Amino acid sequence: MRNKYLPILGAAALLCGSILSSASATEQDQEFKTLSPMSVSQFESEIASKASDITLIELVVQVPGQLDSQTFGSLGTGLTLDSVVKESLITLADMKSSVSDESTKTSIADLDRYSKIEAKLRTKSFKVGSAEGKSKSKLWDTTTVNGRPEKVKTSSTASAKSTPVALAASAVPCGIWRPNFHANIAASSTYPGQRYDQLKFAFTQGQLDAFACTGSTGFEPDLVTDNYDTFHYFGDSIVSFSSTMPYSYLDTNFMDAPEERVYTVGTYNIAAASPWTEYTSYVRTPLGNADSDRAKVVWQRNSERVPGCSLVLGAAWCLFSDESKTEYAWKFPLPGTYLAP
Amino acid sequence: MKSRSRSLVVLTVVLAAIMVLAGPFLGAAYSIAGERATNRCMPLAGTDYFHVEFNLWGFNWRCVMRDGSGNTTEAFLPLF
Repeated sequence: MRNKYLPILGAAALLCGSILSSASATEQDQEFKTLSPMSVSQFESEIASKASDITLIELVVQVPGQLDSQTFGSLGTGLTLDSVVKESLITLADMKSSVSDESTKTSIADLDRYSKIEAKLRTKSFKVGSAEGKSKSKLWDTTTVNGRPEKVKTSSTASAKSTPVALAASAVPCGIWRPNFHANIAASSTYPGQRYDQLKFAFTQGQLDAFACTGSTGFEPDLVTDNYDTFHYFGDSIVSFSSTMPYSYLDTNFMDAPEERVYTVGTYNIAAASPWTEYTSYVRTPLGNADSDRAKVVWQRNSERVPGCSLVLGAAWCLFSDESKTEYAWKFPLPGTYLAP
Repeated sequence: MKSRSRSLVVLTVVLAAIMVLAGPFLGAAYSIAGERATNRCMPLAGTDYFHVEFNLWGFNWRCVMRDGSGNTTEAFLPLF
């Protein structure tokens, strides 16, 4: 009799335990992530005034023109809107300084656009796209997340021994979905002690159509740096990021192999991208342990395999790679500018 | 008999609730493991298109590589 009810009692105990532990969590700081964009005044009254520690803030600056909006994000602890605006101005200064390094016909239009964005940042004429952090109380329009685990050391990828086996040829599905690479620019930041990278690319209409054909919804332009020799130009953590792609997010490097360090700002809704538009993804880090390095780009299309996952945990944790393509393997000099041949 | 079927219903409901609550986290775990496998598939693929698929029978990852003509090759990667 007793043995028959043991499994049921065990399951019930598990459920009660999880309810009790989540109830007790209200007594401690709860992690939060805001769900939808808000105005500056809403952010200040509903989030900033109640949060005990904000660790990520994303700003969305709208500028009518070739590209409608640009996202600026910063990570850290105890973030404030003023500190993120300051970081965003540094990002903008880096982008302006790199325009002369890149011989593209869009440079004059870029400079004009950057001036307009700078004015909007200084006057706080933007929306707060999202914020993450901790709070002792439940905040307006937020969801609780369990936080991101600490990065763990991983084993060497070179130890994976596999012999490729040829399979039957299959028709090329959908066509070429990856964008055309334009430029990669890596340099010291205008802020001392930091370095940045800008990756620039554009989709043709055919590439966007092929992308839609694949069924993937997200896209990541991965900047991958060579750390096989343990020397790296960029630091481990990203201090600030920016993207001109719509619906952008900073990808996590949790459990990435240390031999190839990946820095990515992706989009979870590539359908909103426009053809013939040069997009830029920018990351800024502290100094690495070397003054030179090399990198490559890996284009990745992805989608959410478990519905609802990103609503709870965010896109960075829930998008699964459907297919990837490496290009310009180890051709990007760090620091330096590499233009599409 | 009646108490046994009631126990089964309770057990089913409890398990279903656990799966619903755990779903997003399982999804994240799958995505993270898949991204790790993708990074290990990357050096094997060179300049080919590549992706990974979970191989349930071998409980490992299949690294599938495709060239521009559609010819594919595959290699198996350990789970972690």
